[in-house]
Amino acid sequence: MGVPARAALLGVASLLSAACGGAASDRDPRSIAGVGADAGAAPGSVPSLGRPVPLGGEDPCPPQPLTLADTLAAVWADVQAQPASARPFLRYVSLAQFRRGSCAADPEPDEIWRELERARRAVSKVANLASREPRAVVPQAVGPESLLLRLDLRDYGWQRPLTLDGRGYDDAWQALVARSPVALELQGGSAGALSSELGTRAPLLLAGSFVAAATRPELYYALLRLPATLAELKRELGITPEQDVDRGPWARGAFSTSGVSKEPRGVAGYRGLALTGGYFWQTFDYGPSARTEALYLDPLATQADGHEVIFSLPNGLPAYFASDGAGARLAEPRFVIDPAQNNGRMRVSSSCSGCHNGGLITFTDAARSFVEDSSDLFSEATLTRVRESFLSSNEMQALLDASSLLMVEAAERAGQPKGTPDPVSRTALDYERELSFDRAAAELFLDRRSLIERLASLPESIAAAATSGVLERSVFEEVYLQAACALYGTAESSPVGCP
Amino acid sequence: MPVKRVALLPLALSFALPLACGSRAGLSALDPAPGPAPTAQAPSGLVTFPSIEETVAVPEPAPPPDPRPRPDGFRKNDFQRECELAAPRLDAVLARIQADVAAQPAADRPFSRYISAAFSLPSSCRLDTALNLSADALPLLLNSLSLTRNVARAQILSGDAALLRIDLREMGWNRPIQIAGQHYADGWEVLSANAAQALTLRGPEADALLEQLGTRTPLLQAHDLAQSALSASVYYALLDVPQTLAELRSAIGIPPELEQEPNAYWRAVTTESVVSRQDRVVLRYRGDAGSPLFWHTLDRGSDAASGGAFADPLARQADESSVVYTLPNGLPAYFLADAGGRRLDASRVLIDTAEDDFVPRTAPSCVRCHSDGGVLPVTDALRAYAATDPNGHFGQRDLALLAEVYPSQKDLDALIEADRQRVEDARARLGVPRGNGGLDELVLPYTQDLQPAFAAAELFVSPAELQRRAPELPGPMRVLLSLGNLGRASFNESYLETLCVLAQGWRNQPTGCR
Repeated sequence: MGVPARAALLGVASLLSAACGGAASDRDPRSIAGVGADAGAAPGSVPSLGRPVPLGGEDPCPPQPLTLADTLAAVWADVQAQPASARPFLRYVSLAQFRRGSCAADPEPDEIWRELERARRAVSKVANLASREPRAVVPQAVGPESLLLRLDLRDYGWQRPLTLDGRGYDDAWQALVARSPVALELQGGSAGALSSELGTRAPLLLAGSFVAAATRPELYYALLRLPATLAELKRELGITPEQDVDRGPWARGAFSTSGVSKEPRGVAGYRGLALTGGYFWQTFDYGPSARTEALYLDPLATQADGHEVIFSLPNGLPAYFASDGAGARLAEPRFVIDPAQNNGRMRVSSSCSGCHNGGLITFTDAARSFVEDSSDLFSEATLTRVRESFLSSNEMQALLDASSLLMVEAAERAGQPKGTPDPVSRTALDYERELSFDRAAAELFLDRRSLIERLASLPESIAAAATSGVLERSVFEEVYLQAACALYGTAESSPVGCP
Repeated sequence: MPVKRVALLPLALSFALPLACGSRAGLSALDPAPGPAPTAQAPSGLVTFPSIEETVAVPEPAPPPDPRPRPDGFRKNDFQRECELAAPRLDAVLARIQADVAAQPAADRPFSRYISAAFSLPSSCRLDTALNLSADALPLLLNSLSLTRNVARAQILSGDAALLRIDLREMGWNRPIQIAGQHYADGWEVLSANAAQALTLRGPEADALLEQLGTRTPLLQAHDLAQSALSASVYYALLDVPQTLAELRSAIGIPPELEQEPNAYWRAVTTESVVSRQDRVVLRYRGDAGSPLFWHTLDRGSDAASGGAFADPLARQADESSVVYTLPNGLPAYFLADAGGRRLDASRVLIDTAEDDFVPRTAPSCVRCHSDGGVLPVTDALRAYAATDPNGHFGQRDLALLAEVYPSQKDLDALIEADRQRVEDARARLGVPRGNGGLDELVLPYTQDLQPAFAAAELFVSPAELQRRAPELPGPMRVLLSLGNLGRASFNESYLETLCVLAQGWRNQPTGCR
């Protein structure tokens, strides 16, 4: 069973000539492969494998990014126009990988504009989402076709040193570059001149890479300098233990219709004076095996398997924090999902940003009615406290609306028009998806044709993308520096760290 | 050049050179006479495996039976209906089982067990529809868990007890089974021990059934049985699945020395998998046309930095492998292995969007995708890449071998279709109806929150009685009856306690009540 009926050497005839000096190209591949040749195979190809395929994909209007040299030149020109004292704080984000060239049959000009505009808004929003400065600042669009965004680190408090996973960085930009696999440190030529002026060898990041890095949990927490526990966070914000959920002024609710959890969820919103003009909302999340009906049977309980928090930053935008049941900070909440992610994982902060683009999510409390219907199960003291803290649906909705309004208005000040989709989560998700060959080329500052011309010198995975049309992001990140070195190792401005 | 150029050349030449230069070594391997494969020889040469043409020659299968009638017009996947139809009471159910047992030959009785279809009464709204629904789904479940070539059936019992009877011998479940050091007398004991609603019963009928059947758990709910049977440890145990991929291959008759040959598998690389964010390599062992099917994948973690499937198109290493192979009866079975080939219960690298946590598990995730036709269509991207070879890294010998093991898309489609036909043929032989949604009818209801009517059906009472007795019931049931729904885990945790309350005054009662 399972043993081939006939066993014989494969390819002996063809190997003989090669082994004894014959030319391999003289062979009939059918005699080697034992598989029928494709009719009509192109001359010079390997017939048994079929025809070669067109390289690079079928997009009639592939991206026409700025070259690396042109990008650096544009950055240099802008830097020279800025006051010398400001230059050490200037950094740049490039949108040029989204730039389309002119082509005869441009099928969806709106989509091209949307992609660029979404990336522009995402960069601005994500910078302000990771800022504890009092006002939102939209980065300045500069360079050819406004394809570069100039950030002043001071606008976001990013000029300060920060620590991430035990390692110190001189400023937030340095940490962003370190956490962006698609980022280049450059030397020589205009890059060398920029390094002298700005104090960094990485004067620019690509927009997608910037957004993805800044929304990854640990860097996000570090940029906002958020503490390691929920208790510390509350204390920093002025919510004392005496004012916490079990005793303080909170509005509470519980429901079984969450879009991100199969289990019932509790929600509590702070109503005290510590956050006048701001907001602080906390969830109570449960794992699937927990007896989650405890939310109803013990509605005043504050124990849960996990918590998510949304609170207001000084600029009005929401900050996000997730913890386990004991309050220890988490990168990915365990018991809620993000349906937009193809692995379902909810990640601080890109998932949060997408879900809460329009503010808080409306819910209808079911706990108070259960308690009223089943009053035989509860003490008078519990009934009284439930009636105080579990608001009517109108009162709760008013609280939710007030917080949501603050969030939406702050997003508008950060460059996202009211009523538009969240640019951050989509840009971060797009970044993590597999790349088209054209996008890989654009992130290497080349158009399709230029990259095809250089394939022979590039890692095999990029060459494979030329035929399959796609490339996994993790693989691209892994070979990015290697590819950049192959492309620019001998250029005037060349990558640092090439072998 | 990461393709096994270095490995391939010596492999081929070690056979070819002695021939070319006059040595007699290896001549026996060239002997074209039929007989055993040269497995006694060192596997140093490329052997001839069956071709695509030989493999895809499959007789057209007989059509499987049609699903049984559903007179109420039951809508597929409509698990939210709430008919107020009263479920049969436990005493009546046990009495009906007792009558059926009495009608069976004495020698068969120890192997008879019973399955209740009452769980679907609130959605099917008719007793005959509920029975037909389970009678259609159970053959697929039972035969998918069978180590025999026999047809495993679920016989509908006449009357209004919503019952079906199975025979443990038909699945090979009448054997002792061990799971993690725990010994079980037979497969039913394994299933009962892992079923959330399995009841050990006492009372006149229950005691009599113990005498005849040898168990205090003569009955399981159909969906609870499915949930238990498809949990990884039970699934692997019922099918006597070994602990490693290598043992599995041996168990189904793939010789290790042939399996190692570089051309032992047909391959495809897909960049479009819906369960992996990474490129996925799919392999199919090139066994004889009549041998069990053996497909497996090479999967990598989302943070893998191996350069992708294109970098080493003949690789055998992976972070994980998912296997679809066929049982003696021809139906597909599943195995998940880690990088070392050790058996896994759940994947660490794939995704299943039907699971709440997106983690694919053996075997619910497997059956959702593969129980209907086995392996799913795959679009290969490697062959075009190798044919184009855009950076000129492949040598002629590499290309020849790639051409052999990566079939053209047409041949790959034909191969998958042939294997699908084999599975279809097995389903027809085993009486598994076509187009009945696979096991969804049993598995999906278990994933939904419960509404009061469904809870009542599983508790052997009417919705009205459940509501009437609400003040006596445990807290979670109060929540269910007040809010209108309750999670499955909470319901199952309260199940015995609730039934103990409800069964007061019944002739037969669960054991273990406080």
